[in-house]
Amino acid sequence: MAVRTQFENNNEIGVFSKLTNSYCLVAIGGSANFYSIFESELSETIPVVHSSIAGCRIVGRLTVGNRHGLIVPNSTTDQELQHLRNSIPDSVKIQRVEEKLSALGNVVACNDYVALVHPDLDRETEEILQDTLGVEVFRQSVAGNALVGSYCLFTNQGGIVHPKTPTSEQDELSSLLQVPLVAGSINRGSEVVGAGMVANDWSIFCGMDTTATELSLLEAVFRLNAGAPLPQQTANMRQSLIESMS
Amino acid sequence: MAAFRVSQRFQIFNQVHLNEVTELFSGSTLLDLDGNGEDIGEIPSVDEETSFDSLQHIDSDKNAPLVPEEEADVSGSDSFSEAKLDAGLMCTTCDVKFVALSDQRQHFRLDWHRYNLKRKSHNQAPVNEENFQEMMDGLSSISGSDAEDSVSISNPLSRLLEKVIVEDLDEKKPTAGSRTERITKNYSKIYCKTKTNQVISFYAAVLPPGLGKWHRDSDSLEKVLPYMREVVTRSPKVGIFMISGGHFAAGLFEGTTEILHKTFHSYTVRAKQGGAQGSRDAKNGSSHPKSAGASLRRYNEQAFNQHVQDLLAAWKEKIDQCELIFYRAVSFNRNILFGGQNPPLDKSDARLKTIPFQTKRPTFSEVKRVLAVLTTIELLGDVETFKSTVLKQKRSRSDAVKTKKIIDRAKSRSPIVRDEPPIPPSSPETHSEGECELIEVETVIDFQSELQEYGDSFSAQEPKKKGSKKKKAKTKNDEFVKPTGILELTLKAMQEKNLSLTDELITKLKNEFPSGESFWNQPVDIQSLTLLHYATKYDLQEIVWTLLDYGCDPTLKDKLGKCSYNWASTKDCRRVYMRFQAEFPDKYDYAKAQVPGPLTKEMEDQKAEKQKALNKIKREKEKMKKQEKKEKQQEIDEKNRYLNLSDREKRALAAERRILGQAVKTGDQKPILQLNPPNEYFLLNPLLNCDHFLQI
Repeated sequence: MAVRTQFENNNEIGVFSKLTNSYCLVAIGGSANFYSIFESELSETIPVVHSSIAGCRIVGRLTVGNRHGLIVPNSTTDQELQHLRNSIPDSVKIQRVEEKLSALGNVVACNDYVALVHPDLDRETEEILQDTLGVEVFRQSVAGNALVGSYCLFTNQGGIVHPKTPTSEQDELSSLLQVPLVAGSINRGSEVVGAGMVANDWSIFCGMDTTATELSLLEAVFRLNAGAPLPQQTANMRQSLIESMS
Repeated sequence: MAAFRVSQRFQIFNQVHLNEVTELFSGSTLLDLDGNGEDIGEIPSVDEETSFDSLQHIDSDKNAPLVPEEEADVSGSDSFSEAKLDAGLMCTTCDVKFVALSDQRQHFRLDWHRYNLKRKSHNQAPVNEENFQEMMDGLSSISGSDAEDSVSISNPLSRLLEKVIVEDLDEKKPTAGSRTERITKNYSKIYCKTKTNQVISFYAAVLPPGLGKWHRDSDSLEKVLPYMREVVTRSPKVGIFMISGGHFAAGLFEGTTEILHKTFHSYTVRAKQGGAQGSRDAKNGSSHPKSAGASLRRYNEQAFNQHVQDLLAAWKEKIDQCELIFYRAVSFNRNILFGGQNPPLDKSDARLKTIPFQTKRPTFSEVKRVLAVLTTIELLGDVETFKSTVLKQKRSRSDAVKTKKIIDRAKSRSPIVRDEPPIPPSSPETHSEGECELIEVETVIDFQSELQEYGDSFSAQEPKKKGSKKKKAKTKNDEFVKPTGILELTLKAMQEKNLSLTDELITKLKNEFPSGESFWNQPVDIQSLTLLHYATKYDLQEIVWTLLDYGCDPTLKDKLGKCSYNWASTKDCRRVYMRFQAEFPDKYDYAKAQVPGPLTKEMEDQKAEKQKALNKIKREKEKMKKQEKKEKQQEIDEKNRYLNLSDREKRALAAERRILGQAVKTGDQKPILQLNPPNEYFLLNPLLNCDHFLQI
């Protein structure tokens, strides 16, 4: 299901939440609405956890994780770490890393098998990513942006990249990641697709501003409408998106 | 400064480029950029680093046809869409394709890919794998001489990555290097026009001795192009020597292939402080550092010199065959090449030339780069566009120079001459004189009387006359009348505080000098005290009033600057003045006499009343305090008395109290109990209740 939501009138859902196939982190906010939207959608399958990282609510940008693990920055307090450990399933490894680029969510994009990382990420962090998340790590930039975590988002089903990504680069990335990718926007034309939404293999949450066209493109590429033939549809959608944007 | 695009590069001494170069030089003429041979405009400099990179590109694919090199547009998507891409098995960053997915995945882990990513983020073209390997090897082959290097040698990639950033900065910097440096750099080049109307340039340094720009007046100019045409057909021998900071690199080349080369390094440069040990020793005269490191470096320096000289001696035969010898050895390093008893190279050798551009640390790869850069012919596009670019840049630069006025703050500036402000028309007579005379006048200014607000400001028209007047007054003030007769008696009476006598004498004086204001005001004392002063001083209030009435001026001051009012020692005496002011407000200048203000009868009454009220309040307060104190004392006394009672008495007292209480409730008449004075207090004091006592 694709759901539109807002965090305290802010459309950047991916900033305030982190969604994987085995857990969901939600920022501690003033309004319970944000949390309850996640809760109503996910509570039957995975735990939805109220959390903060280093006292900040931008949990989505500070952490990176998938089904196998969760990596948090060095600034995370012991208490927060303990809370996370208590709340998310035991099968998920939690690791704290000392990394200069501490907004891990911005510099790493991953699914359960592969991860794209910022070209300047530390070697040690790369190894920790491999061990904890069980992924293959590739250093790459997306449409000239080194912040791969902000400008692309992909699950095991598919992914979306910065709207200005050249087709050749899309092909290259989808070959590398082995998932279909489309270039698209979120939240009525925002290009920070990674920060504007969260997704796992069976659900999407995006900002309230997201248009129907954007949403249908997302549903198609993340295969939420099971059974629909993907390539033609994405092509159509892309066409319509380009038209609507031009 | 927009960099001028070099469209193509060839190497003269390289046989591979023989045909192209011959073609270029056939029928070419020297280009005189603006008619004036000396003043060749500043040609935008081409980054040597990149030029070397592209040279290597040419070298690496010798069989490929020479195509104009284009800067790959990495950010734009258009350049990519042209290419035929099927499966996406490729890396657009490094511009390579793969056969299998595993290859692709492998590729993304390589340092090469990482380096190209970095270059891409700085908008630089990717390097191919061989070049990258060479760059890495080039880095690791450098023997580090300081700590900084030894750290980064462990990770050559990080050094390469740093280099990318540095290059990027260099490109962005609009004016790298000083102006003179750039001009000499460009002076060192010769520009030619080919028969196809193209501009080519090459370093003048490659010309043989006696040829080149510096010999324009002679007929050597005509020989330049024939020489160039001739030299490309053979491979001349060239020697390159570089010495810097304990590094030595030398190479003898035939064309572009090396015959002999040697590099070595010894530890001579002082770590962190920099500078060779020798130059440090020279600076400090006889006091040489005696540390182990210093002596080690000193020894190494000698050994290094010896080593270089030995090497050059061994190569002497080959060096003699060289047509050109390029060297880079600055300051004390020159001594290694040209100093000593048997200098390895002759200073006056015409073949010797310095390297006409910046070089890096002497390594073999640097020597090769120097040769490559020196022997490069650059194709700079057609003449018109080149000229317009050069001229435009020249103009814009000169404009910039014009507009930018350099202010040397160290220099004292000449004073700015400004028009004098218009002088207001002075009085007619002074105006007619044309000049006004300046008279020096010495005046003593009395602060209290003279310095008023804006008192010193006077208009330009009126000349200052006050000075002389003041002086006169001063002289008058200085002398005093020796009191005689009645006056003396008066003063005496005042001193004795004999009120009646003084009054009498004063009346006498008044009769004697009926209209003598000046008499009353004359000083009667060496301290310039007047009668009024005296009267005030001795607190003769009635006399003060009388004197004021008679016309004694209270504004007069004694030598200490005190008015008569200030002499008053009592409040009443001061009140006399104030009362007088209230009565005759216009008689004297009371502000000047420092009398604080008038004091009328009503005011006095009011004041008295107020004081009275205050006194009353004060008294009441005191009374209350006294009473309180008394009560407190009583209480304490009673308490003490109770505490001294025995238990039985206490109980009895409580019982009495209870009975009394009941009686009150029922409304009965109070029973008469034994009332002895000590218990009375407890019965009447409501603060103490009986229960309390019972509990005790």
